[in-house]
Amino acid sequence: MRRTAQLALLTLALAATTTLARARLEPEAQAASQVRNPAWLPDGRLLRAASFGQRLVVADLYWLKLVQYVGETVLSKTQRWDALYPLADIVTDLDPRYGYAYEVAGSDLGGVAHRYDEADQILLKGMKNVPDRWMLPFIYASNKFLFEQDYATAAAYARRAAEVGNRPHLALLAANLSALVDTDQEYGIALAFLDQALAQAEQPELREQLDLRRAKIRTYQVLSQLERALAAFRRDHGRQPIALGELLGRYVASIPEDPSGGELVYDPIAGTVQSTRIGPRAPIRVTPK
Amino acid sequence: MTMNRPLVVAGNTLREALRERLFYNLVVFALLLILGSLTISRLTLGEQYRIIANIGTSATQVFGTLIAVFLGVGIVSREIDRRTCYPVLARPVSRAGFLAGKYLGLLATLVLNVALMAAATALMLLVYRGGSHSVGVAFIAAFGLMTLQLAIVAALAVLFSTFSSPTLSSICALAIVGAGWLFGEVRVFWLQAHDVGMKWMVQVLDFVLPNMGLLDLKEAVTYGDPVTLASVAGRSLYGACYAATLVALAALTFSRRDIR
Repeated sequence: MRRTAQLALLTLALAATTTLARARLEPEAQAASQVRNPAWLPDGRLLRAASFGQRLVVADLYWLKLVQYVGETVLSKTQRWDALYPLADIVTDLDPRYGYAYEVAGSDLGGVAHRYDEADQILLKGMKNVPDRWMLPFIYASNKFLFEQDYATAAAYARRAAEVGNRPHLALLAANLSALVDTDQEYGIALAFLDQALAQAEQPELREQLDLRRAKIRTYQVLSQLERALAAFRRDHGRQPIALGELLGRYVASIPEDPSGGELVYDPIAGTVQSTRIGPRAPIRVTPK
Repeated sequence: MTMNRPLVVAGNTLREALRERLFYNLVVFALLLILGSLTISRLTLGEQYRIIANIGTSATQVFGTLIAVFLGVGIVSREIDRRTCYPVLARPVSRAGFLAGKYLGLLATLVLNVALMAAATALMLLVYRGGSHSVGVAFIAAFGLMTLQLAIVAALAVLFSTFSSPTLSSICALAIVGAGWLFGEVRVFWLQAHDVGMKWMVQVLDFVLPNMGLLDLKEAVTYGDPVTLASVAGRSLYGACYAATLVALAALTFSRRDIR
């Protein structure tokens, strides 16, 4: 009886020591599993060869590590994102078709980590390996628009996203981005793409939106041509023209009609021109932080 | 009657294998991993389906390989060590027939194992998706071809066990299977190399090593790729012929072995 009690006491003491040791060691063990130095991460191609046919499940393990890394970095507010691209590169070397990994890494590297070159690299890799995933050119276009103000590239990739995903509504976004580029050539591309989207679109609401956007882009194109002519006139004469008619000949061949169905109104004091229907040329702009 | 003798040996081998503790340990561990995949998948962000599918197929493949090797290496050597093959071989059963029977019994064990794990994976996928959408032709073909992969592994283990110790046989069988997987990954790079010797080596290795990648449709399950019957038939032919060649070699070696 006494022996049993002693044994029970010993068991309890051992269990208590184990629990205490575990509680004390747990933070250390958790810290050990964190990715601190990306230089310690293996090469994805080597890992793929060494995975002995289990590359998909190994990709999943590294994906879970990436998710954990993003969560920890956000919570710690350290803004050290140097392991995000290497982790995403490993995951996508192991499974080049892992479209969702490219999407998450591309948008986090751009929008959260502000590492735009790395965001570009992972998204371009994704577009090469998963060409039918429309979200990848869409995220690429968003990064170029929101963070780099590279509107021409953003417009080109928005059009690519619309084509790849067979999503004519993305032509609306692409047209807005083209309006930011503000060149005759880009307006021409945007109009051609809106025509293409109109041919694909079946829903009446979308067709109406595309029609309206087409009229807006065409009006912006005309307003932009007049604005350039007005600027050239000011440069040559040192004053604003009294009326648009003064531009005829040297600056414009003819005064165009308002493509949106309204009228083009010129303000000789401010030297600006606008449409009575669409208003002034004012593409949506995002101010970088 | 003569044709039935290998089948009788096969039946006995299956019963023996089903009594093995090692077999149950590995099967239970794999099943726990597959059943736990639903919980593991909750750790991720989006696309939980692929984690469940990948754990299911990989667990079946890895644990199936271990079962095939560890049961396969003992199939002949243990019979000789325990001298239990003598009474059988004393009857009108050829050594080749005996070995074929043993192999078929092992194969039946592996088929049961794959079927069990495929059912567990399918259950997890159905629980996650709540429909039959995820368990289609690709799923059945992937697990079917996995059985052929294990048939090759088992044939390698049996071949080595006809002339070597169980430990050495395990090491050799696992090394060749590993080399088969590794070669599948590096083959493309070697073929792109300008070195003529490399290309010659690729041709030799293509002939010698099992191309496990040809029998691997895990990706089709993960991504729901379409699978054609002709492709599966071609892959099955390759796997079946490779395994049969190894068994024939094993029968030849065993027939010439002095087991007095």
